[in-house]
Amino acid sequence: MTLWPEPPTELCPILVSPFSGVSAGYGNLGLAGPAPTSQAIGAANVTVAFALFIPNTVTFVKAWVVNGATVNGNLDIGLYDESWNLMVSTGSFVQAGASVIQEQDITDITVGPGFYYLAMALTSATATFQLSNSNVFVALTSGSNYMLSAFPLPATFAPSAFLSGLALFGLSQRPLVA
Amino acid sequence: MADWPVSGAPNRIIISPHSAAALGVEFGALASAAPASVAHGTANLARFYPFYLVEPMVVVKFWWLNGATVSGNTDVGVYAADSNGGPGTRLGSSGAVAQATINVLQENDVTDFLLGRGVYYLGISSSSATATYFSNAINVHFAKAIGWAQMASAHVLPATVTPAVLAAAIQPFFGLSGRTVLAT
Repeated sequence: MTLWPEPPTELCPILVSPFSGVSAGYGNLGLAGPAPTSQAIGAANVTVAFALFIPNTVTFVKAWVVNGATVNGNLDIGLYDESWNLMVSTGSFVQAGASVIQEQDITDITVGPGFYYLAMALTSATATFQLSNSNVFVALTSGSNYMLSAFPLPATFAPSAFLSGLALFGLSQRPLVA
Repeated sequence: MADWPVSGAPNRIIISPHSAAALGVEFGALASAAPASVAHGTANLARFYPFYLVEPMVVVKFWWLNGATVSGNTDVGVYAADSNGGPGTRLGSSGAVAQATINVLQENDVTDFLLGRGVYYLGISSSSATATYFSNAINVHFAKAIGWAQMASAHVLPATVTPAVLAAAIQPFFGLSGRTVLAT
């Protein structure tokens, strides 16, 4: 929460993901990223994270992910602050429901304007998600990152590499997602 | 000239779910196809799409882009986001208007009303399953992931929305306008 009045800028979408304008949406749009398809991230016990700009004070109540054609293992979805400290997470849950959106409750969290990171950890190399497997340029513009040996979401994230692709997952301000 | 310093982009004069202040970025980033003539699909179904205003705006018109078949009545309106972030109370609407001419933009005048800065939902309902609008049709789970909602038996648009699970991801090209001259 900031000490200053919020400026009259854009407002945070009800649902945020790496495809939102407040994340990597403009980058993927401007760099002609492809439509998401069912793909595996391809490594076990990793965490992926995407930069997220929150323009106004909002409260997130749910996490969600759009699964691909093969579900496997467990997931953990959460939010980090700009210093890579974990603020909230779902905790480990089973990936369930092929090719559908899956939602998971989180402890309601109110966050003020600022930079954050959306993050998802996974246990399975074969678990699939709806991924726009774009390119390193989108990765650079999106601030997407990768951390090995990081399941469940670690208390502090240590970025180790870029991830070339955007995964369709995120947080929601409203309870009805799926 | 405003009385206050400008510190952000102003509202656009015409707003639809395809606007940057709605789902335009998500549509582009998800590489959705261009709108085409698509049937509404279910009579009396209402669909809702989130958007926001960065500053107050006076709404003077609603509009929609008819497809290749016109049928029944159309109702377009705007709803406040409720305390849960979903579509809540109706703030203004066109009321039932006969869908008139194929493949053209149709507009409807309303009594001007003011919206403040905030988050809202655009809503559209049709009395006819075969009425067509230029629409995006995307993966229904992508649609859920960007905040669409729907309500059955909702023509004319109801005073308050009871959202239901989204069944079909069809997003017509429609919206509101802050200016009077739109289709001509």
